[in-house]
Amino acid sequence: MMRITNSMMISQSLRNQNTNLTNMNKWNMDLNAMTNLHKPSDDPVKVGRTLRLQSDISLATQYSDNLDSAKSWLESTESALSEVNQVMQRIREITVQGANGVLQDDDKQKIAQEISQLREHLINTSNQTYTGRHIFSGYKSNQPFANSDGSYNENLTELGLEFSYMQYKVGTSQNIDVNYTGDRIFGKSFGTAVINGSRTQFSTDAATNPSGKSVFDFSITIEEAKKQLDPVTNEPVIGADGKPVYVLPATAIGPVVIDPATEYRNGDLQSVADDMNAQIDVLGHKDDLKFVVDKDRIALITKDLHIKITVNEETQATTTAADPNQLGSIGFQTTPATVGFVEALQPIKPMFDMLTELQDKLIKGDSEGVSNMLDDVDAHLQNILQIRGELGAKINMVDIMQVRLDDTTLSIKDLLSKTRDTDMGEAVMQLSTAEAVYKASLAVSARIIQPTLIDFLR
Amino acid sequence: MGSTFGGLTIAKSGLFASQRSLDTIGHNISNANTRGYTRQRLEQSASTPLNIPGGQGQLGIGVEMKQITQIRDQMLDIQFRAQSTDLGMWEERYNSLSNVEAVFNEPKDNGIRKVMDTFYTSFHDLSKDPANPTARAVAVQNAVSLSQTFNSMNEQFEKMVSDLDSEVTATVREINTFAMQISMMNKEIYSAETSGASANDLRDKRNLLIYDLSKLIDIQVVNVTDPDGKSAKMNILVQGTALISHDQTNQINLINGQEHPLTKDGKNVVPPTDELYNIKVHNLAWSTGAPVDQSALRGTLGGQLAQRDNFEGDIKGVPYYIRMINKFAGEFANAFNAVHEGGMDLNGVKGEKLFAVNGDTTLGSPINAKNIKVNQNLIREPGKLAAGITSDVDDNKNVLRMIELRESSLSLTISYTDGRITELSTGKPDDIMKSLIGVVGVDTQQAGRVYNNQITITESVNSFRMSVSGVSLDEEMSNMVKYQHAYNASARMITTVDEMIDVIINRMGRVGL
Repeated sequence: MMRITNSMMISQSLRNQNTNLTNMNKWNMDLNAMTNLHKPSDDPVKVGRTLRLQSDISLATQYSDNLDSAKSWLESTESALSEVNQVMQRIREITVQGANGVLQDDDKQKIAQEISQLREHLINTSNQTYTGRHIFSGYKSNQPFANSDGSYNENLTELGLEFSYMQYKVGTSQNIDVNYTGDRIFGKSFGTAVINGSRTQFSTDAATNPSGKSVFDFSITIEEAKKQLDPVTNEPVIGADGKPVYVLPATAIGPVVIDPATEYRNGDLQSVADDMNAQIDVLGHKDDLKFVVDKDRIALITKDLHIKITVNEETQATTTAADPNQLGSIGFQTTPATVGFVEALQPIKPMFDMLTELQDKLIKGDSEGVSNMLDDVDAHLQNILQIRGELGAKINMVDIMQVRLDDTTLSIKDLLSKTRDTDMGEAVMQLSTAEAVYKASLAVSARIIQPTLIDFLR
Repeated sequence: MGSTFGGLTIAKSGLFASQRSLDTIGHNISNANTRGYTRQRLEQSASTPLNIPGGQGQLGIGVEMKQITQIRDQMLDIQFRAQSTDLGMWEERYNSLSNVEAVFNEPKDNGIRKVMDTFYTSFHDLSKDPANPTARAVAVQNAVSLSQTFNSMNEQFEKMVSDLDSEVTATVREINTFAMQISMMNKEIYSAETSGASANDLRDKRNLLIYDLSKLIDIQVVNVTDPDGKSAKMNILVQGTALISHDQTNQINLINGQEHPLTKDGKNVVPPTDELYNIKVHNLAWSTGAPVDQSALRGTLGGQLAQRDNFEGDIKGVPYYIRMINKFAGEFANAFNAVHEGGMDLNGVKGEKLFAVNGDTTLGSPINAKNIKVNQNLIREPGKLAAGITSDVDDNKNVLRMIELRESSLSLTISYTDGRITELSTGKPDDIMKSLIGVVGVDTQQAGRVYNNQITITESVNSFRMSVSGVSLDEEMSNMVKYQHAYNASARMITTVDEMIDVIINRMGRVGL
């Protein structure tokens, strides 16, 4: 039998009381802080989950915020488009009137005048701002889209407006384009051909490409050069195939060699672009053709030229067979493939130019000409309707995503609450149990420790 | 034939024995609550009897007091010391890990996770209005607060290392003091016991010192009995080297300003090549100059050293966390810098580094949690933030790329001086941080569990020890009554003998007087 001594009993009951008190303290803390996770060691797995869920909530809140902003942008675009649509409807109505041959010249003048005013209105609309930013100007939202005479702001179009899509992040891998650039709505004044490439598309396989260079090699051929203009009307001469006739012979420029071993950043390829532009200059097409290279795209922007871009895929055979030092030179173009074909003039005439033309024809009283231009007006109406449809669908999508995001956030919050929040009922019950146990242990200690034989010896 | 006064001597021996027993009981009761006290008992035996001639047997001549002995179980002492060594070690480890946990400050609303979330949030806001000076300033400011969080975590961890180092210093001094005291006790006990007596109370004091010492460092107590077999000399060994050899001590010296030794699971290992370990610490050596294998030490000192020095392995010390956040801050900064440098600011200038060593892009050394600062130029001119890939005001492409870094994987690797390269952690930044917090959580939980177990084990061994050696007042009271009665009875015996002698001397032969 174990011998029990007084100090043993005292130290043991002290320890037990301490254990009970620790227990009580835990429930107390859980209730006070309303969470049962106070430090990582309380439950490493649950703490890890809590951290993830909290980040998820923060992200979802951010995405929801981004969706709200995106919606504002889209709605402001929609309101501008609806205005453009109304104006174009009115233009169509009066154009139909103007095409009527029996109309007095006086009336045609009035119509021409109205068209001129409506054109002004459209130019203003194209410069609409949202929170001080021009919504149709792409990245350069601090500049208006159109000049007051209806020509497009040169600064914007130079690099290709179609790359100026602003994206908001609305999901881990979901971006939404919030802006529509003016050229999509009012028609392009430049044609653009793009080769989109990224470094991953370059072959770095040593077997097929031992040098690791010049995998992305392309040249640009000016298939047909300047349009031939009618000396009298100063309009492009239309050939038998219905396309404008060009006068200058075809010329080739290029190639551009991009070394896949280098990671290009914006601006690194400026010298390549300068080189190419210099070549274009030599060819005498400087004002008509611009060559742009940046990190993930190579683009040709053209006003009056009809061009073709060809990409040459080099094979190992051709590389080794010929002089490797001339890697990527034009001589290696073994299997040219056409990737981009640009016509300078789009099927849809730029809106403001078209309206000027219409106005001119009305003033001249060219009823037939006016009538012919109805097609152009209709093309614009069609285009705007199409974009509005797309925009409406996008706004709808934003709404749906918003609802879904709210649902997800709610369920994440629910899970977070289940993971770390104190179960009030349980905690209160456990606390009272712990308290009762503690009190009992105190009472028992008081009775056990006190009596010794001394109390009974006389 | 018995002597006349023999009975008195017998009674006297009983009287004295009872008295001494009562004194011993008094001593026990007085020391009932003295720390380290072992109850004592007077050993007594019957005196060597007188042979009565003529084959009439032997006549007892009373009681003989042998010696006052301690009631203790040596095995329990040894066990208790071993358990206290572990207790000291785990206590230290648990405390230190709790501190690490506090540095991460999770899962609270102002921990590192919240700071990182806020950082990304401000970039989201910037993506929606990249030219807005406020959004830019806020983004830069949040980058500043992120870098400051790294700085402060690093600072706290490094402070923990230097705190642990000063604890090591204090512990070693304590060990040396204990060693000195024990060696002095050894001398006293030895001289007190040369006669063969047991110096009980001195031994108690020494045992207490040894117990306190055993909590600090793992010791081995060796008793060498003198050739005469009467007394013994005590040696205390640490790692086989004598810390105390009887009345001599071999102190542990602290060597100041030493390179931080890096250990893994109690073994010295090849250190990594980073400059993290510029921290200077105290290393240990015997006063003879022989080295102390400090990575293998246990007890409080061992726990402190492991927390100070362990940078990898199953039991991770503070250096592990320093290295992880250093690597994390460095890789995080590099990823952001790479993207930021690919962008362009509002003036058409290519992006500078977002984070730099001490905010100065001209300083080349690798970025870590200690030196990470937002590029000073960006703080001065938030307009230099490269939000786009062009200088256009609403070009947010580069901001989007920076936000997307949250989803792309970082890889933390470390190279060693022997050329080895190890991958520490791979994953999205959030995940790396989370898993680091997971590691400290699991380690602390485990250390806490072992520590609590160790308390229970130590307490139970102590209970056994107290069960054997502790003073039970009930027992002492019973014994007191027992010896009191014996004393009374012996006194009564003397009275009886006295009366007998009175009869013989005063009353006999007076018939007729």
